[in-house]
Amino acid sequence: MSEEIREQLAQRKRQTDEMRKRHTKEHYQELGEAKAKGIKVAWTPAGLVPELLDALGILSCSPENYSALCASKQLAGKFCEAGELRGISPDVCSYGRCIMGMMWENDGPYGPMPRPDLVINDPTFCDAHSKMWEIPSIHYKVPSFRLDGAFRFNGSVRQREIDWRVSELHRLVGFCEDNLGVKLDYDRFKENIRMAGQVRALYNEMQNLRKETPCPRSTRETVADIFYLVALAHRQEARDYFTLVVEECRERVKHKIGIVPNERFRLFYDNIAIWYWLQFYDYFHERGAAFVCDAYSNAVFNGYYADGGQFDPEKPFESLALRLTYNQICTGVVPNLERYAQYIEEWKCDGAVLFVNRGCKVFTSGNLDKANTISGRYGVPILEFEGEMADPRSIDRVEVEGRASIFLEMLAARAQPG
Amino acid sequence: MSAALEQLRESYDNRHQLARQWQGEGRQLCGYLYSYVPEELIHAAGMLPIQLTDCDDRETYLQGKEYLEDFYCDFACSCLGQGIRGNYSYLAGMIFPDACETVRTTAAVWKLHAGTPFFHWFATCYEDTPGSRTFFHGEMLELKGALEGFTGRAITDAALHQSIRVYDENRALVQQLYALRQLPAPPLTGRELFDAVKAGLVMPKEEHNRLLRQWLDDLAGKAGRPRQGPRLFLSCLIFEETISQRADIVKMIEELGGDIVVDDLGDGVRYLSRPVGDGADPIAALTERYLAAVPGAFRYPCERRARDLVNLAEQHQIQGAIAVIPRYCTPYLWEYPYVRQRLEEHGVATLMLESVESMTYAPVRTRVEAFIEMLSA
Repeated sequence: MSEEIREQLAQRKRQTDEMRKRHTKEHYQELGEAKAKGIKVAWTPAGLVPELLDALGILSCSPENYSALCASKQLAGKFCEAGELRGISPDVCSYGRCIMGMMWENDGPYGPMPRPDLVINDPTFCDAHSKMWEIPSIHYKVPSFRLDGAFRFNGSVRQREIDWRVSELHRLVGFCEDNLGVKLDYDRFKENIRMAGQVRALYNEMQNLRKETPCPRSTRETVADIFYLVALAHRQEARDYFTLVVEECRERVKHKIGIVPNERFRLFYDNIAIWYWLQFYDYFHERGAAFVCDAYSNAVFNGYYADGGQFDPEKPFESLALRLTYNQICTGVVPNLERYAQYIEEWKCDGAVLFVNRGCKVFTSGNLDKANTISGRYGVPILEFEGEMADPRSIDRVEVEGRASIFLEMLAARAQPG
Repeated sequence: MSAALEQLRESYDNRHQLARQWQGEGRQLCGYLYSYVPEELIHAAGMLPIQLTDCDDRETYLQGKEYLEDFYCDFACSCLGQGIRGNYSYLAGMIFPDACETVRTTAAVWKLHAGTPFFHWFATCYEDTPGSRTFFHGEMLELKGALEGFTGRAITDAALHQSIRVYDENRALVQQLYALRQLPAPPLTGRELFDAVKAGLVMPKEEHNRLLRQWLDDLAGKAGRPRQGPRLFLSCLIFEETISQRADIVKMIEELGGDIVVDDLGDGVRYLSRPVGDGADPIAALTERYLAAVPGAFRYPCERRARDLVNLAEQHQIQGAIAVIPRYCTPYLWEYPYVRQRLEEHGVATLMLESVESMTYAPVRTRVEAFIEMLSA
């Protein structure tokens, strides 16, 4: 009976995996066909404001998401090189180098990215997001819009920060209407926020179900789930997908069938996924160590809901402003440390893996204090290693696996009685 | 050498010693980073604004690196290291502006570990819009309130007006020095100018004004040396102590025959970009002034910055541009290829020097020498 249920759950996972792959292809196909259909396209940081842009009749394209996909298909190295040959420093984010390389080579895993009609950047994310989008704006000779806002240094959010972000979102609407000849469909915007709220609530439920033992869904899966929050959070496809994912997770919890067979250890993963080496997670899973929680899929793209927030479809601008404000990378080290403490405690983590990502200073910020919080407060051992999230030249896999092996042995030794 | 210039240099070289002396005399010193922070507010609160500067002690720098990872800029690591090791223990307060991603982390770690009694995070705006003006005005008021809460004294409009006058006078005096540097036979070198300007970051502004006035008097009528050598533009984020201690780039360029005609240092030309002015509402005047983006790479779109730099180059007949970029400085690294391309399209040769703690003198000198020779040919 248990085997039968296990196979049913495996089948459901295969079904959602296939669904996600199909939706991903369809999304890039839609982007590829946009020009021919006269649909405007905006390049934006990942998951910036697709709900709003859709209500303006603009397709939101996330080149970062494309470069993550590129890396997962082992193509990012050559595009990073192409960007570097044109003068982009190898010390900047590999997403950016890959994006510029794809742009200049007019190529990508599913063909070139669609030519944008508008480029939007957001300085609250990071310096790369403040600066790098100017390059495609200049290259394609299209307008660039900077969506300003306050970095949430302290944990509290002041009303005037939200007011400012709301005014910026209105300014973006005005800019799009003036420059692209589009018009905001306010009812559609409210509907998009309503749908996105449902999607995020499901996603949040999925993240919370990962607190259970054994864990029903690992970071290996959730880093792929992020695609929906980045690109399709306002669409039915996302709700359909996460409805199935949550159902599967509930069943796994009910029958105590974890996503990792024979779960022995529960691990927290920090930073962006190593897109060209997702098998990194498999290495641990094959040894009974499940990644039950991660900052990336939890707080970066769903920080507002993870912190207990909820969209109000009747206040779509405010809802969007709050979502942008609670994103982990728009949040300071000190409030983020409390989130990390919560992850270790509530997801019952035995160990933590901190990926020191040279490509993302903001995500790696405060690593020593994170480590001190995790190990100092909870006595949880940590594995650290360096690399870049999209540049495969940056990691020595043999060396990292060696460290991982020792780390797992340490966890096993700690688990021994006496 | 002018006694005033000598005193300015000594003030900078002995800045920590002098700061402790002022603290001992009962003054409250408030540190800050970069020129995005409204020093006038700190001054009007009765505190002495002190801008954080680099140090050349490797152990201190490594201490900062421990907390910030090795792919953060050396300047941030140096400042943080100094904070953690107590070099700045004389500070009663510390204000960090939202200048860049590195400052966001540096500020947080400083707050956790450096133990400055008064700490304030000052949000800044990238765009000048009605919404950002409202927000930024609120930031000014919040900082004012925080300073009042810490010092226990109200910051009156009269005090603010007075502080604004002191700082605007300082900007005007430094502009006079820059104007002298534009003469066909300037009576001061680039190195002397930068030494005078950076001293003002770490001493009472009134005293800096007095010494600048004295130096300007000394320079009046002084025969200058006719300009010679290729006309250069120096692009530099801050006074790069890391590069300048071991490889004093300004002195090196001048010794090798280069003529630094103009710069875009954060505390030089950019800092002077506009005065506050004496408007009826001093907070509104400060908001207006600090919102007008000090044109550094952090918050200036690179197309606008390239245009400004090309205009600057044309205005001053610049032949070559030397850009000193801190290693790992994301904004400058992203903008540099485009800015370089635009300058070269306008006939300005470019040289980039990546500033890093491990940089040694000889290779830098070789590159600068070759660049100047090429321009001189």
